[in-house]
This record gives sequence, structure tokens and C-alpha cells, in this order.
Amino acid sequence: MTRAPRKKPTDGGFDGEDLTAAEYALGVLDADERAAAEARAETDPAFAEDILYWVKRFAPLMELVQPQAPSPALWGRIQSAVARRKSASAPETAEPAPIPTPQAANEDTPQPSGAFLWRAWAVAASAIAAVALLFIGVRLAPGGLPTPGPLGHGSTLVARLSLKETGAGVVTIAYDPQRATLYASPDADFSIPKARAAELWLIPADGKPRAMGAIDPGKPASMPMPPAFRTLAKAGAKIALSIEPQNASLDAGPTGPVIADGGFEQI
Amino acid sequence: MTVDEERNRLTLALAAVAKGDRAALKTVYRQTSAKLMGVCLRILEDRNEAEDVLQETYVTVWTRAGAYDPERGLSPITWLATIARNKAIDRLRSGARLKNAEPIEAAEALADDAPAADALLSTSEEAAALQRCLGELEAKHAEAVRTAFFEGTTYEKLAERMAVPSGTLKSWIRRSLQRLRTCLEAA
Repeated sequence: MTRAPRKKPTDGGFDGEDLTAAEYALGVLDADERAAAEARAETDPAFAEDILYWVKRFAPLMELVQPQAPSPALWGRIQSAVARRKSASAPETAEPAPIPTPQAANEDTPQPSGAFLWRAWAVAASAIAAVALLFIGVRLAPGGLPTPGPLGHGSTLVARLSLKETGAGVVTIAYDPQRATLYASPDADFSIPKARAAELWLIPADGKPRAMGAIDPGKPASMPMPPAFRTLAKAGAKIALSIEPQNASLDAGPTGPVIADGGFEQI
Repeated sequence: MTVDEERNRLTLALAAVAKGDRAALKTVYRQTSAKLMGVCLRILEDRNEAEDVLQETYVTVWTRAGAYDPERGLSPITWLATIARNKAIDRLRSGARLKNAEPIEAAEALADDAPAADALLSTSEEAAALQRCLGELEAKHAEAVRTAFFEGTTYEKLAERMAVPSGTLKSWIRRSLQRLRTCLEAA
């Protein structure tokens, strides 16, 4: 099973400082470097925050750009492009409900959750989302259709894992079906014995645990959801954390003790 | 409209677009398309390409307006212009770009921003801080930073333009970014 990717160290940059976020926001990176920065921003909240910081700082320069009227025909083109596609948000109705993503198409319209237990994660996730939305769609070929569906709080699943022993919250998990990515934010200390790893498990309705990846105390991590498991991640599925020997075979489920668990809820 | 009124109106219009209100999309378009066109034209130097990017941008806005979150501290116009700018830079980098498709009205679109850059008109604190901090850089370095921002050029292209080795240009810009950060954080 794949292990949670470790956060990349800064690349050394200039005089040891990583300036990639600033260079991205300024616009001097080449195509490959830009793509790498965008991929990193999707999983590294600190890096995403850094891009936002620079976007905001450079924003006043936009005021200096002379406005130029586009041709009068452009609005018509946009209107027909918009009419050709169904809005992600139900154009003709007054309902603000987000439309489910393809992966979540048969799930109920999400209700906002009043429980902000996952705040630590949500802050980080919103930095990621705020940056991601700045370049949404850019990787499409010109004229290509962006994936329908809002970036979404709507379809995101969250789980709060509590320690079995004390009931204390220990890890917040979020799953973004649009990116097929699981985010883990271990926001409280838990200890892992030497030469052991803390493994996350997804336990869907069939009761069979699927290994998601390892996490470390205090370190946010993101892990891609294997395609075969994507339809299993839905509200009601359980998430568990077990202590495993390093390099344990995880195909048959946890071999060590399950120390924390929780269930996915839609937000 | 004052800046605040404009901002509020745009924020409300985006919220309406997120609910599928096409009239609100037109409001957003009316209020922002000339600015976004200016931003894209500086980067792409071609009206057709700039309009293609604008079209993509507003279609993206149509499908994703709900992702705009005023709480993140980005004004709606900055959000929109940044989406358009990123798309324009991406197109500039892609091989798909038509070369010299149509000469632009050079005088208006490529006018040097330098005179204006000395006088950021906005009274916002952010603008004042940026202006002061850019002013503390060596003139050439500040020019490189501004040109990079307005034109979205890579280090290599910018080095050619400014007739310096690309290593030199890179270190100008990186040093400038470091000094800007220090200066802006002290502000």
C-alpha cells in the first residue's frame, strides 16, 4: 500500500529560501515548473497559503493595467458557451444546492454541518481550495470542457477520529471526491512506538478494511484514493487508525491494534 | 460607484452566479471584462487569443463562482483577474499559441506602464506598501519584476528582453522577491 507522501522539503531556492510560490504568482515559471507548483499547491497547505500571500501582494499592480474593451461579439459567444453547458449549479432554479460530482452523483444533497470539529483541517483545506480555484480549468485544452460541479465543500466528506481509549479527537480526515484525494490532519498528539507506523483504513459498508496510507503525528498529509476504492468513500463509511509494524503486509486488514476511529459525514 | 460599492456589488453578483443567475453573470462581465481583457492582452498580445481566454474565464466563473470565498481576503476583481491571468500565462506557455496572429494596436496595449507605476493611484494600504517596497529596489530590478508581472514572461524570455544573462535576471528577481517580502512584512 502506498504510504502517505512526505511533505517536500523546500528546494533550497535562493540563498536557501524557497521562492517557488512567489515565482509562481509573479508568473516567471516555465510550463513544467508551473504544473509542478500547481500540483504541490493542491496538497501542501503552507505552499498554497504562500501563493495566496503573493497573489494578494502583487494584486495592486493589476490596477495599472489599462482596461481594453473586448469586441462586442464576445458576450454573445460567452452566452452561447454557457447555454451549451449545464451550469454546475442548476441555472434555472433558485436552489443554491451544489450539484453532486460524478463520483457522488447518487448521494443526497449535503447539509451544512454545524460541527466545526474539523476546523484545523478546514482552514488548511480552504487555503488549498482558494489557490486551486485560481487555476481551475487551466490544464484543459483550449475549448475543452471543465469538469462540471463546484469545487466542493458540498461533496466533501469529513471524519473525526477519536482515540478509543480516551475519546479525545486525534485526527481529522477529509475526502475530496473531485480530486480523489484523502487529506489527513493529525491535530492532536498521539504516539507511535518505535519501528511502527500509524495506518489509516477505510472501512466501507462491506466491512472490509482498505489501507489508505500512513500518517505521522502533527503532520498533515494527503494521499490519492486508489480508483477501485473511490466509490467506497461515502457518508457512513468508517475510518480507523491502527498501529502496524513497518513494512507490514496490509492486504488482509490491520495486524496491529486499532487506536482510533470515526465515520465519514458529508459537509 | 466607490471602490467598496463596486466590490460589494461584484461579490453579490458572484454569489448570484453561483446560484445559476445568468443576469448576474452579465453584471460580472460588464463590470470586469475590460480589466480582464487588458490583463490578458498584455500577456498574449493578441486580441483573438485574449478573447478566447476571457471566454474560458467567464465560463469557469459560471461553473465555479461558488468557489469564490470573500473570507480568503482576495477581492472579487483580484480573484477574476488572477484566474484570467493564470489562463493567459498557461496559453502563452503552451505550443498552441498562434504566432503573430494579428498585430495588436501596439500603442495602446503595449504602452509602457512605467510612468503609471510611479503613481499607483489606489489609496489602499496594500497598494501603498507595494509601491513603497518596489521603490526601494534598484530601478532595473523593479522594472524586471513589473515586466514579469504584466507580461507573464519566463525568466529566459525576460532576460532576452532586458539583454542580460538569464542567471543574472534570475538573481535580480529572486533577490527582489526576498526584499519585497521583508519590506512588505515590515509594513
